[in-house]
Amino acid sequence: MSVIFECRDLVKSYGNVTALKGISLQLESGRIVGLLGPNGSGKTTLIKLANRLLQPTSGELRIAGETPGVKTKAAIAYLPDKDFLPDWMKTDALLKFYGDFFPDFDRQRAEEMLMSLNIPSNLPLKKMSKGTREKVQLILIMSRRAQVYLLDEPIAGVDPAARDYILRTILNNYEENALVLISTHLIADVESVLDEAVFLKEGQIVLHKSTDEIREETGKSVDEYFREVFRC
Amino acid sequence: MKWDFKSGEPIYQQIMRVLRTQIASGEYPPGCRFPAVRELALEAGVNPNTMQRALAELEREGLLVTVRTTGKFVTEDQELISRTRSDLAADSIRALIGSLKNLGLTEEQILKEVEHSLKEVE
Amino acid sequence: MLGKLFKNEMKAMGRVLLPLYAVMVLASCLFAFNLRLSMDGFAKFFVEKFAIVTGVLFGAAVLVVGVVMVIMVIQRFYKNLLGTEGYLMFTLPAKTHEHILSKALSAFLWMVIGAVSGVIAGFAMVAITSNVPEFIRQVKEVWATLSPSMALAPVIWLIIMLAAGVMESMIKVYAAIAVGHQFNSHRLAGSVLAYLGFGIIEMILSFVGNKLHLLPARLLNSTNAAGFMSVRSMQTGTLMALIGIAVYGILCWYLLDRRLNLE
Repeated sequence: MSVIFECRDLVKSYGNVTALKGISLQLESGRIVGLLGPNGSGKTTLIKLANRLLQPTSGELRIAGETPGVKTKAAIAYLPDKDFLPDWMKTDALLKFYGDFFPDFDRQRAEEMLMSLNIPSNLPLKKMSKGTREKVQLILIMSRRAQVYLLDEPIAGVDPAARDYILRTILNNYEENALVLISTHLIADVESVLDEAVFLKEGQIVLHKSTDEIREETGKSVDEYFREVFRC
Repeated sequence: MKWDFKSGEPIYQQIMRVLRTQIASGEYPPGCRFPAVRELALEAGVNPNTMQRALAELEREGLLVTVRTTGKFVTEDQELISRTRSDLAADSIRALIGSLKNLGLTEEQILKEVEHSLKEVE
Repeated sequence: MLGKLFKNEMKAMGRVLLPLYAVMVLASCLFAFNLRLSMDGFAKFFVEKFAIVTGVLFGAAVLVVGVVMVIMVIQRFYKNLLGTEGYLMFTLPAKTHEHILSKALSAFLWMVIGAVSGVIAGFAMVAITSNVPEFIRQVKEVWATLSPSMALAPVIWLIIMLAAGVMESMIKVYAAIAVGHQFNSHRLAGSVLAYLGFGIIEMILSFVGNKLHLLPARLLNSTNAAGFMSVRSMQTGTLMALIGIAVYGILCWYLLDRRLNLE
């Protein structure tokens, strides 16, 4: 498998606050990677840089060999940690929108998933419950045959049943040769699906290892080890 | 997510133990076709790569056999299966003996207790 | 990608504007119809009152269309690009200038459609209240007296200047919003301040320009011999608007492309 996500000495400052302090990281396609760290450790900043929603202060970031731009945007399926869809849009309009803008969008797959949740096609987002809205967002993202999936806090603040649904949907739908990067601070909930873990602490990477290695070498679960590293 | 994983041991090893037990107990009978990696991964709630690794290891042990493109099958080697079964049994018994010895039981007492319990179960 | 963004933007704006335009045209017809009835002396008292009501409705509809148009220009840019919806828009495989252009062009097209429906409403009113053949005859008469003395060029240049001016004011609003977005808080207030700031800078520039006679006086004299605005001054106006579009457009593009920072 080849390196698809690469950053070198990546720095991002906001005024005099430095959110990322020179990060170097290589991630391969075909892997599910956890971007793990407490709130404010720089997870969202890194994901925003990869989506070109921010510009790096210095250093570089490449996705499939390209600096973030139109090409990488077409290759990345991004789930922000916000309600990012216009709330007046109905599900069928959203399907059309995604089909229009993303050639890799598999509309049939999305329709099947919406149908299995009994979400009517003429229901606008603002009439849905928060939980349903989040599922619709996830379904749209995971129905893309993308090369990279960047999922920012996909399971924050959801109940256990929804969490299972979300993780199952991710596992069931991601492209086998794609990189899936899941940012979260809830490690216990995702660690069984991760190949690799990247620990981010105060804007720096303190660890990047396979989860099996972490378990074998430390005799602890990734979650336990994480708590140890980040104990204050 | 159905399967429960303990901390501190690679997940693929824990999966292997579950699958080995399922094969030894006949839940997956000899010669039976094994589910696809993705299907099993979904059932266990783990990454397909992890499941793939567990299956590859089981294949190395000979419990699973890949038939060209049609998929993975449980071995028909009865002897291997029964050896696996007695290995698993030995593991459990060793663990049991360990904890009973910790309780301060002698070997004779252990035998007596086990016989007693067996009768009760019947 | 510009085409897709434009189509999407037309739909998003049309959702609000189309019903509004329909109400405007409908109100004008109702108003005219009642006016006609009261002129014909039908049930005088009732119809007169109703004519007033529909007249107010029509006036209100025109006013609302204008206000909503301005709000739409601001809101479609501020909310759709710089609010949480920006997470969707700026991760589409599109270039920054395509976002700005699609917003400006569709707002412009909806303004044209609004103007056209306003004209239709006006014609409908006249057509209903007056005798239609008589009205057409009058229009022809007016045209006949006007057309020989009226050259086509000033009319065309007036339209071009107005179009460029409208475009410039929109891009200026966009740029002001983009400047306001650079602040960490009070972004809306920042945008308003930026807009006022642009006005002050423009005033200073034109004052300095006048003092230094940067532009030859013949480009600025605003009326020609016949008392109409001269073509030359309209061309100058168009040029100024185009410069404004370029300056504010580049500023806006730079801020969105290089200094984006969504909340």
